[in-house]
Amino acid sequence: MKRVGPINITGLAKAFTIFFFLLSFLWAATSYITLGDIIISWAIFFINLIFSAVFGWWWYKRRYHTVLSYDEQGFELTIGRRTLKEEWKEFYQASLLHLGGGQFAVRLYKDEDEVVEIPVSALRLNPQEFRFQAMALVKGGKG
Amino acid sequence: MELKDYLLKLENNLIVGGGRWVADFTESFWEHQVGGLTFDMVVTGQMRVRGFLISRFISWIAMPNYQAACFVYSQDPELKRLSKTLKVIKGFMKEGELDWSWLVIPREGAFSQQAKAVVEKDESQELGIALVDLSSQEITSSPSYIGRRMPRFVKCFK
Repeated sequence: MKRVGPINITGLAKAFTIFFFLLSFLWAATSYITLGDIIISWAIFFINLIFSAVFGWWWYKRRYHTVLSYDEQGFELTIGRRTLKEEWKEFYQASLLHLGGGQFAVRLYKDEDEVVEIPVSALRLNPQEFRFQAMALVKGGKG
Repeated sequence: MELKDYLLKLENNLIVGGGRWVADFTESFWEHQVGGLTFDMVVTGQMRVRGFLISRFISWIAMPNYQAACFVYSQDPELKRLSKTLKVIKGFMKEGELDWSWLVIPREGAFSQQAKAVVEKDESQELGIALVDLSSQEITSSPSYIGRRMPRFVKCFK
């Protein structure tokens, strides 16, 4: 089974930034309430960076990290804590979907209303090439 | 230029290239079956771009939310079945509530004068047709407003 799961830089940056601002705000509020002033120093800045990196990594793994494992039979897609396991034969069509900002997904059609989207840009796969691969696997799954 | 290379470039141009000035093309299907015909490629989208905050707001107030599609069909370069192809596309447009469409007919070689004449005389207002000669890179488009805008966006040979 082929496995793809690179670090999603956008997701990691997002998680880090969220915690950096959150911790900065928490520190500012705490120091103002307890000491009557907002204490700013290089030590606090570096401690904030370290904590933001630790919590950001935890949040990234929990929410954004994407892993795709697939073979001729089916695939397993994990995004954060959610895992989806499907067989190619369940689908009848694959398309290339632009999510905006140059981010692509391959959309797989299962039924009239049910679709599964594989975020190929987050997986750092070539969107057009992976679409052809998915089309062949969907077609192969039928045979 | 080979057909597949052209289709990949056209797809790229419509989705993330110059095509964005016409519509926000979001989804692309290859070997797509519509009404008994297998189109090489069908790219669908809408005129109202998604954008972010200001661009989304401006698009929302200034643009009509027209649905659009670009069909590519290379199986009939002599346009012998053009009326059937147009009928299928118009049926698809009606079903999917599309407001306008493009039909691109690429070929690795010259089109006959007869085929060019058919396209140059086509009177469909909501459907633009373009013949794309991949060898000479010559484009012939239909005279409607939608058709006249096509060459700029389907000319993606580099």
